[in-house]
Amino acid sequence: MRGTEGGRYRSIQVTMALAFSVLAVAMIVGAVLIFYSLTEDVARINSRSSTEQLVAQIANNIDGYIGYLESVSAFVTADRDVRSYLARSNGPTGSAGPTGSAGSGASGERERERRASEVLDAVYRSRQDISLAAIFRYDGGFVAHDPTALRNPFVDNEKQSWFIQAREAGGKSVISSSHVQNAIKDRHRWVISLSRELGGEGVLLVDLNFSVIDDICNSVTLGTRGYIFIVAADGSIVYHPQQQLIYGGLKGENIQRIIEGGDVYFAASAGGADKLYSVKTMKATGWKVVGVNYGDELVANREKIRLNYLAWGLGFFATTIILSILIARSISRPIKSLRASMRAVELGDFDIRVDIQSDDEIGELGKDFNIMIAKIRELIRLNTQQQELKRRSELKALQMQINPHFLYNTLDSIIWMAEGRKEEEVITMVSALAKLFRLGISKGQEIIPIGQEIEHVESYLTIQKIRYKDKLDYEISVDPEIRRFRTVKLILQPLVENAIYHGIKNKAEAGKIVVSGRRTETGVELAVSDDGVGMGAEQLQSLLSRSSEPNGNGLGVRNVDERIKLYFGDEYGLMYESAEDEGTTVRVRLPAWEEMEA
Amino acid sequence: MKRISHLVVPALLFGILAFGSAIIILSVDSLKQVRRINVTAVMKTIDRDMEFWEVVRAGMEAAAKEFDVDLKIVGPVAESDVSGQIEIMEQAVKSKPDAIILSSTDVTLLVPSVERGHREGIPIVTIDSGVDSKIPLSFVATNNVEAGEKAGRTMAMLLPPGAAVAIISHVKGATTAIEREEGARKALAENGNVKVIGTWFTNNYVENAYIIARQLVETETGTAGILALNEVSTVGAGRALRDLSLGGKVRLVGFDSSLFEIKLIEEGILDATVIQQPFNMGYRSVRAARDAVDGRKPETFIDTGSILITAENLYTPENQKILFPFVDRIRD
Repeated sequence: MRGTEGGRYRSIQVTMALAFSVLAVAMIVGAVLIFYSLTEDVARINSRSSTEQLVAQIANNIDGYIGYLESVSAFVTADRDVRSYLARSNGPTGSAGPTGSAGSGASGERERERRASEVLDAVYRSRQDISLAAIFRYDGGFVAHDPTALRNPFVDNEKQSWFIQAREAGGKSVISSSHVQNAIKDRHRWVISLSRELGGEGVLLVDLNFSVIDDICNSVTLGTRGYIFIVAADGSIVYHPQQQLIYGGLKGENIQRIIEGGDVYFAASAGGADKLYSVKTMKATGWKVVGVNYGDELVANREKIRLNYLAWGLGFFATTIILSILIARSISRPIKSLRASMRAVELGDFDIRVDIQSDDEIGELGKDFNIMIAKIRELIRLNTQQQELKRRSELKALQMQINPHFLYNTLDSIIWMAEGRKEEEVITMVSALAKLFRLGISKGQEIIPIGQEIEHVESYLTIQKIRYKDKLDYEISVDPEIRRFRTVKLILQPLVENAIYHGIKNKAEAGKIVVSGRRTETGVELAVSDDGVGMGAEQLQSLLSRSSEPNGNGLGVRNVDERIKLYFGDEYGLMYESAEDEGTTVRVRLPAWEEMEA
Repeated sequence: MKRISHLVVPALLFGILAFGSAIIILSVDSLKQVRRINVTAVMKTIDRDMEFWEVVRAGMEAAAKEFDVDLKIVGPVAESDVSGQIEIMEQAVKSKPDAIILSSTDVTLLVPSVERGHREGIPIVTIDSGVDSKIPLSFVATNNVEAGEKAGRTMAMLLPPGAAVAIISHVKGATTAIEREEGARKALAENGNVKVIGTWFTNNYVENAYIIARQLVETETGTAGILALNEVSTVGAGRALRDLSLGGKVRLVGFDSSLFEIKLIEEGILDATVIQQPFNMGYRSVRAARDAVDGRKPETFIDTGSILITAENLYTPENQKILFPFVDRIRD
């Protein structure tokens, strides 16, 4: 099937290039996506572990503060001055009952208060972030780190949760959630309170400025939108950057899940955003520090990674597509050249050779093709040769057929002359006949000098002249220059014979045959002219055509023409000019060959 | 065929390439990229001592962080500087942000600037105080009528039937003043036979409020309750009652929160105060602006709600956070 004809034609090159490209692109897409998801996974794991670290660090930090408050409270509890303040006695053992002992008047109380205040002040000064250290005695006694501080007259401590809880805990310290401390007149501060009952006599209150925790949590950045929040064990919010929104119902966190689970890491969808929660429980307070990441922020500079992958993908695409084209071409090019060669062979060119420099199947195919063409060429050559040989032998056989007939006539004439005792004529005739045969044999050579051919026809004409006497006249005028050129033998004799039998014999009066020869531009031209009856156009036409009957007049003439063409080519051969009652001229065109090739 | 395939093959290859690239782009870009937007907030005041506005700002900033907004907060120093705010608004329009949030100092005078912004195709959201125009896509504020009703209802419950109530308001004609009074009067009329003896205006001066309150209780008006419609009025009236030791005798219901008001509540002078939620206000204004830019139509009116604060609920965790919004500030 020809490429130009079939509607569904696809070259191997195109098919392969497309197939390779599709495959390669599919694989690259797959690979890129897998790598990308791996990158995301890695980023997610990294983010998770870094968030967990951060959250743990914050929990640790805050634990540290709380731990400090604990140790401070233990120190205050054990302090002698504090004990004596609580006991309202100066006794070193502090064993006096709650009712107080004699000798401790108002001045003594003031002194004990002063000393206790000094202890609390030491606590207050020990760290900048402690905003209040105070003792509330159950009997209404009050002392703070700052002697000028007054209780808030409008606030009843007994109703404050830090007070109530401390009392219930019976000597154990209680940590409050974040709240505004309103126990002191004209002071409202966000604090975390540690409260602890002191020997059943009162409650110690140490406030940690909440800004400490606020600052810690605020300073943390988790992506651009992530944040930290802290939930107390009871679910109340200790710190949240958007506390108001949560109270206002505009925002929600999954607090239930956070306080029920341990240190977990989970994903939840809230407010249309995927959030990742990392929870860490604090040891001292049971608070949960929660780190919140936004899912879409996990992969930092996502855009850059995306472009990177795209660029790599495109790079690979381009490379593989170019490679596919090159590979496809390298495979299809030898096939194409093989195909071109086959076409040339189809059109008859058997001298072609495919030149494929490859060691693969196509290379083998090319070699086989060359071998095949060589064999075909050989076969064709042999075939042509055989055809030629056959034809030559055929022609030789025909040549032989002429001679006996003529020989018979000639011998017959000789017999008649011998009987008439015409010795001279017999001698001439026999010697001419002898010459004719010698030249006819010409050592078996097919190609002879024109000189010999002329001698041969002269011998023939000599014999015929003797036979026809005055009826026949002849003239041979050949340029001696051309005698050395070669010709196929026995070409003139059949022409002369033809001229005699068809031209002159049928003529009433005497006829003349002229054999001439000259050099032409393209070669040599011999001519046999007679002034016989001539031929009509029709007869002329049939003379050289193959369709004429083999036994007819034209046989010898056609034989001559074919032989010339066989040996010298189609441009050589016979040419007739004739007119009825005027005569015929046969021109023999021959090449100007001087030497015979071997 | 052959000639066509010269074009078809590169086209096919290109198609394969484009297809592959598209798959990568689409799959890798599975999470949509949020475009950052620029929003300019033209405030009534940028005075950082104004706690209300500071909390609004905190809410705005929280929302800006959450919704990928680059927020620029501008405004005059003094709330009374209307021409200053107009100029600032004009500049904001010229800078062509994606959206403008406006807290207008004047209901009518800011309208031309708002119209200019609208012509520039900038979505505008108003907050706290609106303008007399249909242009703003959303008005984020406290429902003042409702807040007034809360105050009025509380006052009605505190007083015996037939008692006289005086209203101290801030600026005659101010939207908040009109709406709160409307709500208060309505509630007072509905919830008991309370007589409103009149409305006095302080023009936003504490001294005026003090004088008005003092005169009201010292003269024979029979005023048993004072309804103060903003912080200045409340503080002035509270101070007057404290000075006259009339705390608890003459009932006072006020508006807004300040440390002084909290003390008045603790002392029992101020029976209740209706507070707004400025953090929510700020937050929701930015969210509305983001919605408007993203083509989601925000509600025309976003009510950020009001809360009635009394001595009982003063220190609940929820109210603490609203009454004491800032941790770092030392409040004494």
